[in-house]
Amino acid sequence: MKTPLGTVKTFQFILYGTLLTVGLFFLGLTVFIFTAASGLPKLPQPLSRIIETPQTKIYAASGQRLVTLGERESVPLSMVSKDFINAILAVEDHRFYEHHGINKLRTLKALYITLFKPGEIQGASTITQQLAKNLFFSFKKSYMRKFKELLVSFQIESTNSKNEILHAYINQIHFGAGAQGIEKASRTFFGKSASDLDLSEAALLAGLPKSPTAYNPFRHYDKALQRRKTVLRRMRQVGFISDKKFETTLEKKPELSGTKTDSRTGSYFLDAVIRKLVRKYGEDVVYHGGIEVYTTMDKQLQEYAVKSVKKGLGRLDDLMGLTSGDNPRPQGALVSIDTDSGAVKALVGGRDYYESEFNRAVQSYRQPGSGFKPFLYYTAFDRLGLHPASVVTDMPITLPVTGAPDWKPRNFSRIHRGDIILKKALTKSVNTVAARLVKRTGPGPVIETARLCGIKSPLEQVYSVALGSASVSPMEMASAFSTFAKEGIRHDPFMIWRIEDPFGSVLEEHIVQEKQVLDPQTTFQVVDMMQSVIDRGSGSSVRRLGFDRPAAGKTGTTDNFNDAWFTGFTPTLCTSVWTGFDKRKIMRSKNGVGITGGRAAAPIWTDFMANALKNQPKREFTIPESIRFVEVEASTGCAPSGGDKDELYEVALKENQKICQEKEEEN
Amino acid sequence: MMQWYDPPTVNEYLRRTFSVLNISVLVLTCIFAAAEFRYNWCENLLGRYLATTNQNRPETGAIWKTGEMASSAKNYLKDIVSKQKATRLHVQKSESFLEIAKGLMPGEWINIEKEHFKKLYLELSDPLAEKILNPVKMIWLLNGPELDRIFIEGEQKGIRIYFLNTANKVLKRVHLDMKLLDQFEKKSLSIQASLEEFDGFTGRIYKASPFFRAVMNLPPDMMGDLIGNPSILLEEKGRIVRAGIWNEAKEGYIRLGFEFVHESVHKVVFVKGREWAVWQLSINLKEGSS
Repeated sequence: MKTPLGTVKTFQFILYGTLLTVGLFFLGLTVFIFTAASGLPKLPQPLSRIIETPQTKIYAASGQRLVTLGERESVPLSMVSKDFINAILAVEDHRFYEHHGINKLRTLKALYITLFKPGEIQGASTITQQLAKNLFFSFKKSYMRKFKELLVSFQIESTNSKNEILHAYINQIHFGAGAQGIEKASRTFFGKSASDLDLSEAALLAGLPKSPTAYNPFRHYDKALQRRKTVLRRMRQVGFISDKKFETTLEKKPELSGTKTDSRTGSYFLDAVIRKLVRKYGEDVVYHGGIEVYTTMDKQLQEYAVKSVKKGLGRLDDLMGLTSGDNPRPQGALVSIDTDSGAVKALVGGRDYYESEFNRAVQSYRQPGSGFKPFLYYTAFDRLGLHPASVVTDMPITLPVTGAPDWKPRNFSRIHRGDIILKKALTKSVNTVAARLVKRTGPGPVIETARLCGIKSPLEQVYSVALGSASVSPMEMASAFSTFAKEGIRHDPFMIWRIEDPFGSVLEEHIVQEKQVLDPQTTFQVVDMMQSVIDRGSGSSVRRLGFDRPAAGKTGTTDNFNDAWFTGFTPTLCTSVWTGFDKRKIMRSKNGVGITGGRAAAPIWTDFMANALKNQPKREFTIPESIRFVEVEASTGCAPSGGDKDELYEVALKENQKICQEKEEEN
Repeated sequence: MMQWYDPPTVNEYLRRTFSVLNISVLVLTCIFAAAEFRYNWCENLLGRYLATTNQNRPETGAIWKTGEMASSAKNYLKDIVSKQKATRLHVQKSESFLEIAKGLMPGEWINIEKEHFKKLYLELSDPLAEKILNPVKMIWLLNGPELDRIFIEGEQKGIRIYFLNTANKVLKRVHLDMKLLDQFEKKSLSIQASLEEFDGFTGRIYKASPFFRAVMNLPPDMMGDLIGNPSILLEEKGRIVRAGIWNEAKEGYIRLGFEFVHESVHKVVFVKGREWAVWQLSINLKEGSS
């Protein structure tokens, strides 16, 4: 049995032992602090410097701002709703104005929970600590990181006033949807300034920094409301709001503005512009350089383009019997170019940017099918002296291909018409006639014409290139057809008019250069034939849908219905539309019939063009001086004989060209 | 001397434990702890200490990285703009197209004032001015309603001049070859070209043989007035294939052009002839051809 003296001795041992341990702990802590302090990051002075990164602004051609990159609009505390300040303090750190960077009681409690209640987590970070973490440290969890964060928060507290710290905090926290800082968040989610937030909105925003993705109100509105309830409850607990206010606010459901769901631009056009900028200037300049970029985008046309593609693909879904739950569904792309300059007015790279950022307008290369024939017909007119009234036989044809099976192009309709004039052959998109022409011209000259017009993709020297076997992008097709629209004058397509540095000095600007690459008269003959495609040929759905302006174009459908195109133009605007599956797959209607460019792409084109041009006067294509029009029979190429058996076509001829000549024989 | 020993009794232990010293230490410790909770002096002390070491600490962490990127972007842009300023200054000070071409590297560009351009253009010799653009066309271009500004871009072998309208569309594009400019600068009167390239010779280009036959038919003293400095032509390599007479007189002289061919390269050499001698030559040429 222990004597009282023994008990006292034990107590004495424990007491001195504890004192010694505490002493050693503090000694160790001091050494640790000095060691850790040497590796701490430097703090910017003043702290507000952290918000001074210049923002890059991208504008539409009209000067309207489209997007700001690296946006963080700083606002003074006085310009922020009092409700938001209270809400963020209540939910993040209600003793903010009392502590010096650390809430000791909360920290001890958190420490206790961490040590003795495994699995439970208790946060104890003050606003200052969160600021320190956001500014200087990675999000990797480690005790050393936490300790350094604490030391930095002590320094922040020592060198800045509480309001300066709070100002820095609310202007740099992330709220999700690409919104950093309260002003941007307020504008993104509610379309108003931070000073105009009411309690219901302020509490919702104050709940977001905990998990901007999980509580993103655009995507998870109910979760965001749940989180707002927690915020309001905390506000009531700390006495910022009354019970009644709590109840009435809970009933309010703030109305969100816009549809932006994350930090992405939400626009294929802007993505393409940013990619170009990064390639030329690097990411630092684009995201942190504060440059001003004036694009060629016509905002109104861009909106029409997005709507037309969405509507057209919805229609295509219906045609194919697909529902929104089906995967995959066909995609689409549209590029519209001003024929007078080459400026890209609108660009859509897919069905839904937020579903897939892959930009099919510029990154996807697909076979244009018959969409390539205008290059062939131009070449045939130019090199072989043929004209729209020249007669060629529509009959099966076999072309030998070195090292590969013979090429036997078939007509889409599977019927053969015998002798027909070239205008009808293009109007009806007759493949055998095209094959006969390319046999005579050779693929090289056709490729040359395509190159002159602006096709840059690799084109293989094979006969089938004339029937669109090589892959091209919608941007290339729009640009190349624009050369036809502009009487053979080529403009390089471009998306940026001007780039300025933050002080207004011009870094670069686009100069519109014209190059006459095709003969204007021959070009007009092809354009006249392409008008016929729309008026009575494979693109006649354009007229059936009510588009009555002078227009020319060409459909394109690949053999296996993988790709359906329509590229067409008026004298002022050239637009190319592609539809198809990302992974090559047949597009078939519910009835099992393959879907052509005339059915899938032409309606999108028509819808867009009708809207895009609705406020413009109708303009005819310019007819070159020496062009005359003659009516001929479709099968003989001669003047009408009086009978009503043959179809008649009005053909555009040059001064020296004669109708009713011998049939063009194959070589 | 004080003797240290274990307290023999519990009372002694208690007395020693609750001594004034011990109680003072305990009270002070409690005050110390309470004061820390109340006044945060420990954090304050540490914070102030860290503030004194701030300047010597590294600029690391997310915010500094962003700052570095912003600063690198700023420097990059500053470089571009200062190069542009230097180019602008160079162009403003330049007194000839050659000087501009020498200071404008490929890819560099600058807008040039219309008045400055006019001045440089007027200082060009007629054939070169003609080669850039016919003076009459130039008058309309510079004084017509379409021109908004003139843009010059450096190229590997010279400069390119763009005449732009308000929509940034090129109304006229002219290439000036550095070699050509240099030749003129050195008062060399030959240009690698053929006579047709100069509108001033239109309708007055003759094959070399009939031209010289007509020259030979001039009185001997008139021949000297026609080609005052024949050494220019004698020094030129190759053979003369054609000759031309300029369509206007200036200060009593009319320009004559002789097209040489040397190793398949065509070159035009300019000489000045007395107005009246050239008129006489023209008459001879007409008579010869009729």
